[in-house]
Amino acid sequence: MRRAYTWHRPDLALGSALVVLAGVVASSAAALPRGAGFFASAQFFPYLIATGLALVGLVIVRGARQPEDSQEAVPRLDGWAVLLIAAGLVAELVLLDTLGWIPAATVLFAAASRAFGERRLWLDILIGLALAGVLFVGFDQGLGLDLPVGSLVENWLDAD
Amino acid sequence: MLETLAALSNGFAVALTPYALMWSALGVTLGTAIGVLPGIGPALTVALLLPVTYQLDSTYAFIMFAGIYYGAMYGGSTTAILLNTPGESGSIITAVDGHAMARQGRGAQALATAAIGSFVAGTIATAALTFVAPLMVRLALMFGPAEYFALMVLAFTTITSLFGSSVSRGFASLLIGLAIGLVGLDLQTGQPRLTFGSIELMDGIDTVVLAVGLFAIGETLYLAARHRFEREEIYALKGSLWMSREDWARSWKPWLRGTLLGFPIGAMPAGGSEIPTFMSYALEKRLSKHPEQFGHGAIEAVAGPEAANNAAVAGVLAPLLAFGLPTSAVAAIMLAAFQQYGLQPGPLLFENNPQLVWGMIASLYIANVLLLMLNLPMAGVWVKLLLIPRPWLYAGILVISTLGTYTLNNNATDLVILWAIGLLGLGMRITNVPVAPCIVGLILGPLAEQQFRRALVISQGDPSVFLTHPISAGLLTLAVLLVVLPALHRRRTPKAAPTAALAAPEA
Repeated sequence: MRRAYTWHRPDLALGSALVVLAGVVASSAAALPRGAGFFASAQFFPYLIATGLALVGLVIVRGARQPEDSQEAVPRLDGWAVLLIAAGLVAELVLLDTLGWIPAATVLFAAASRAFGERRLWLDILIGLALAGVLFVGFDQGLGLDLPVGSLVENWLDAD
Repeated sequence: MLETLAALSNGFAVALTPYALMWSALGVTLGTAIGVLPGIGPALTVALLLPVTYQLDSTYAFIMFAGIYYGAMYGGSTTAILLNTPGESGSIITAVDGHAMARQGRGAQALATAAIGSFVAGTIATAALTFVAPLMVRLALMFGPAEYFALMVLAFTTITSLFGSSVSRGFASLLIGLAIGLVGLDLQTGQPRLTFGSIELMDGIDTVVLAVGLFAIGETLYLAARHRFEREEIYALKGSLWMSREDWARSWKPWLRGTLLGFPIGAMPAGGSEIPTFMSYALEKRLSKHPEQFGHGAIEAVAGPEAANNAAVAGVLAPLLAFGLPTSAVAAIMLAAFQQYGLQPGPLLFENNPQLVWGMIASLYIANVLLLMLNLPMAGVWVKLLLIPRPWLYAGILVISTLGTYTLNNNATDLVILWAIGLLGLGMRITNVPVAPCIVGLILGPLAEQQFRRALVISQGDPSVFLTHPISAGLLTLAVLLVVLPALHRRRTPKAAPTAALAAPEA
């Protein structure tokens, strides 16, 4: 009996992504002005890397066509948790320069705890505030690094 | 020989001052504490702790790094043994029998043989490093751009064919790293490459941002996506905390044999700490009177690989210091740290900054002693860190990662890049692509290109220079053989069992 061949989806996605990346690298290299001597120019390495990416991508795509019964199981993933953390990171980065380090980091902390199944939001916020506060005092005041200061919290901690 | 000893004693004169000792002690403590947290391997530990050193003078910063580096290795083995989540590829083997010992209530003995073995191996290997590094420097002086380029190509091929589940995935990771390395202004011509018109991208992408993004953000996203479907087991330490006479008798030879395997392999440009741990495991199993215990909690299977791992870690520093050639993810981040201080490892560093190089090497000896004192009595304290509830632990890792990334250049652009790389890391984790080659590719790619073009300038554009120089030709031949021979071998033998588990730590 013939075995049923199907695409192993993660491998197919990986291989195709590499081929696409190869295209991006190659086209950006093609846009560079031509220098004297191809090998020593700024174009040679990008083309080399693009060729490598395309070859490896094609090898992986070819290998993605596998007999169904010998495929490695695709791990189950909780997309909601990923989305929550990704959103938490974006929120931190947007809030950082306006609200300051402590509130922004607390938002990320609460979002990430939630993504890992912690449901007591007030407790997350409390711990997040404490951690962000300790880090602010340690790094900003202790080590002299510049963390963003907002109008809400950090001023209370500023010694001067 | 005498010169080396004199240089080393000067190094100790720097490293033994109370101020230096303080930074060393702080480094090993932080390194162990962060390294012990599940999901944080040594590379990430060093990357996350970079900001702590920003205000330090470079000599003390690297004394502290030495402590963090060794401390993270110790911390990593604790996690591997008690939690069965190896933080890096070098402790995968430790996790097998170490965790089996922990299940049998012998976790304390596993930790002890790992700690003492790491001390023995670390000390012998650091001594070896002391004498090998100057010899390598002498070799490095004979290297021109063509030879450097060939050496880097060799490092690329060994890193990709040694890490991970398959050669194609290793190359995929390396090439992604090389492509990311292209981003920014071309060093020779000043032309922007892959910047898509963005001014922020002209400076290129920082190795530390890539490492934190792949290791911390990508890994945390993956764990978040998987946590509903998996559970982990922690085993408390109980009973006697000390090794019995039999434990000692069964441990000391594996320690020494592990060291003998680990250092030379770590010191080769082929490098890495993963291979020697596998070799040590296989060797101990063959020599053991109880091979049937292997895989079920044999102390030799913890002692040998753990010693091999730590010896390799010291070995990796030899090509890093002498050639500026990183052969592991941690070494890549150390190189980034050097660059942050405007330093380039290599013969000139030994010439111009002897107090830094030798102070750092001397502090490796000191770090080992400090770690032994810190780890044997305090293993119980580190274990407590494993009990932090997972949501808060990972949320905290994310917060600290963004802190480290932001403070790199004090702007939010790096956080945008971090976010994107985090998603890339998640994708690589799902598709079983190893992360380390990508990081080495990013930092080594631009250097390799620079040497390549420099060699062509010297040869007036004649590309045959790489094959007419004997050292360069030899290194390139070796690189080609390393890729071709295993492929031919695989074609002749039937498909081996998949080793996907080795691609990345399993949580």
